[in-house]
Amino acid sequence: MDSPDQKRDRVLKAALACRVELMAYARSLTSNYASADDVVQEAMLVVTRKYEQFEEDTSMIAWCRSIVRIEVLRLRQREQRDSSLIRRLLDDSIGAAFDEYQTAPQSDDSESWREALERCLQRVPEQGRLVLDARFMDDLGYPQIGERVGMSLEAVRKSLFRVKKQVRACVESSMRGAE
Amino acid sequence: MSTNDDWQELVDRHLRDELTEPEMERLAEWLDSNPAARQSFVEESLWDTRMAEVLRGESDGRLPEVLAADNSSSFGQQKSANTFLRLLLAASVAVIVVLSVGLYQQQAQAERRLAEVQSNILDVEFEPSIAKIIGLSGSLIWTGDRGRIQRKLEIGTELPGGTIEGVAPDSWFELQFNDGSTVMISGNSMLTFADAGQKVLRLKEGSLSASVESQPAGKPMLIHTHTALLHVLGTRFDVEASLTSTALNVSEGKVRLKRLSDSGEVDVPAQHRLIAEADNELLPVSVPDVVYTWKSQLHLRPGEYGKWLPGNKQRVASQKAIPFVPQDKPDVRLYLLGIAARSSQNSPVVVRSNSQFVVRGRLTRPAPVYFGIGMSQVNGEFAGKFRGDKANQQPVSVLDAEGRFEVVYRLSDFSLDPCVRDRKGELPARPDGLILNRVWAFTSTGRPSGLEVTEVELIPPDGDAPQ
Repeated sequence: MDSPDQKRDRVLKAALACRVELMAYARSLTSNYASADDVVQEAMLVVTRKYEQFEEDTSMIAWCRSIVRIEVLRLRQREQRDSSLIRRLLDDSIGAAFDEYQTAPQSDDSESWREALERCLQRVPEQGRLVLDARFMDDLGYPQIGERVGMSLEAVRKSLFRVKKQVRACVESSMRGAE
Repeated sequence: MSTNDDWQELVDRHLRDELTEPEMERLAEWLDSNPAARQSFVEESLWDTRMAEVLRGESDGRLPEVLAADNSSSFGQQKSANTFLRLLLAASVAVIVVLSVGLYQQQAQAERRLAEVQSNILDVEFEPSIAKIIGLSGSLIWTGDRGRIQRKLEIGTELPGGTIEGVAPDSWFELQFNDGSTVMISGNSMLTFADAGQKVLRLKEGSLSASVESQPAGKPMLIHTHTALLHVLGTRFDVEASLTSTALNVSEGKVRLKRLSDSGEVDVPAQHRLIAEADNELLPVSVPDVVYTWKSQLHLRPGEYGKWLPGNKQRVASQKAIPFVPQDKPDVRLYLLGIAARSSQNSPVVVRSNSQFVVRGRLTRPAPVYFGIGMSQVNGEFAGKFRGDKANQQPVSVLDAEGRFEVVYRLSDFSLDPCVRDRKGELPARPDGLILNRVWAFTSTGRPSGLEVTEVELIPPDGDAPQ
């Protein structure tokens, strides 16, 4: 039988391995990267405190998702933001989608994904990289990106989706090659 | 850009809080109605997040080395100085210190903080009530704001909005808003309701009856279904929603229906009904005359509760009972099925005195088959649930060599279902002359009975069936 230390380390390790998946879930609920980051941080702190409550042979990612969901609600409470009915319905639909389809990552998977993604991003031409950075790092909307890189709104949209598609194809191809 | 790109753009914009409310609603509808969309949404969100993490140079979430079994790495090798790791590290080190030095007081303090967190989670402040429960029976689940789930509901409970779900064919729930408007769901239905100056409801599936008081100018009650949006100013009506259609039956007043697939709108006046599907004409028709006979059509469509087994050359179509544990009797396991009563012309089905129900089906082992019916008044109001096996104790059904049975339930034997007896004074004592909404059957032997119903038939008294 595990000592409390061993169980804590194992639970924490398993929870951390799901971090990107939990970020995806939190972003879907908050629609904001920084808020999602806060939520997942808080959730991980809850995991460190409540690791004893995790039941072995149950899904770690599902347990962590339930904590993330509560942290999202607490964040809204802190920010005194009332969700509209539509937003609540959408949250329910998103929750159901993740419950149904989100699976825990394979241990090697996230590492290989990350490396492949880093490699593929290095191959993106400069203009495309500017658009990606503006969208993913600075969270700019299409009009602001257009102003920054000197492109029309439609050109920004097309460029963003073309580059994303190319990067994704590159990553998937290199993941297939690695198999 | 292709449809796939449009979908990816919708997800991309959702993740950055750029969607309008109608776009959010569209996204929710896609997710609710399409498993492929749900799967794709989860994948797109993960993909976008991986991109964001790499572009922002965030941690890959690997366990800080101090917590790993292998302690060979130093912190200096960690790639980023992100706050997540620092916080986590600080917390983890704190936990390790607490555990390793065994300081009881610190543990107690941590436990108090934990209790505080749990308390905060559970004791979320309630919002002001917008409606109260005025009638209910059967198994129901209410999910309030912030995800509170409550299964023990009582008449008089004030609710601040949320989602109510009937989880059995015999469930029903009646709600009265602060302005006196009432809505009722029955059977397997799911309704979300809110009132922040304007009543907004969403009937995800199932049946709803409403009696709506005059609403403030410019703020009609809105009822969303998968396929339509209803604008209600003050009226009585019934709605039945499924994934593909919305059936609206107006008793009094007028309801405006907008079909979502093409934004077509039509006003449905009193005593008219309309079925809004993707391809049909939006033409309200007079409520058809009532009929007195009815036969389930399981060869054409599934029942309402249980597992539908479509027919083939070897076997007749049937509705199979599935396990059901009543909320108030967790040690009881019923095998239950339900079938909505809908005539081929969508005419209301009225049960007359001395009618009888014939239930045909299969069992894998002999068992008494219990049978119930759900009724409404002509104006759509709930009129009670009745059981055909109470006055006349049900014998074990006799099976033929192939396990088939046939049971006859005479209307004269029907009496109010025990679960609505607390409303005995306001409900009709007998089902005669009422509209049949649904039927259900179950066994209660504590183990699977293999109950399948192949047909339920309502037979009026001899020579009494109008053409």
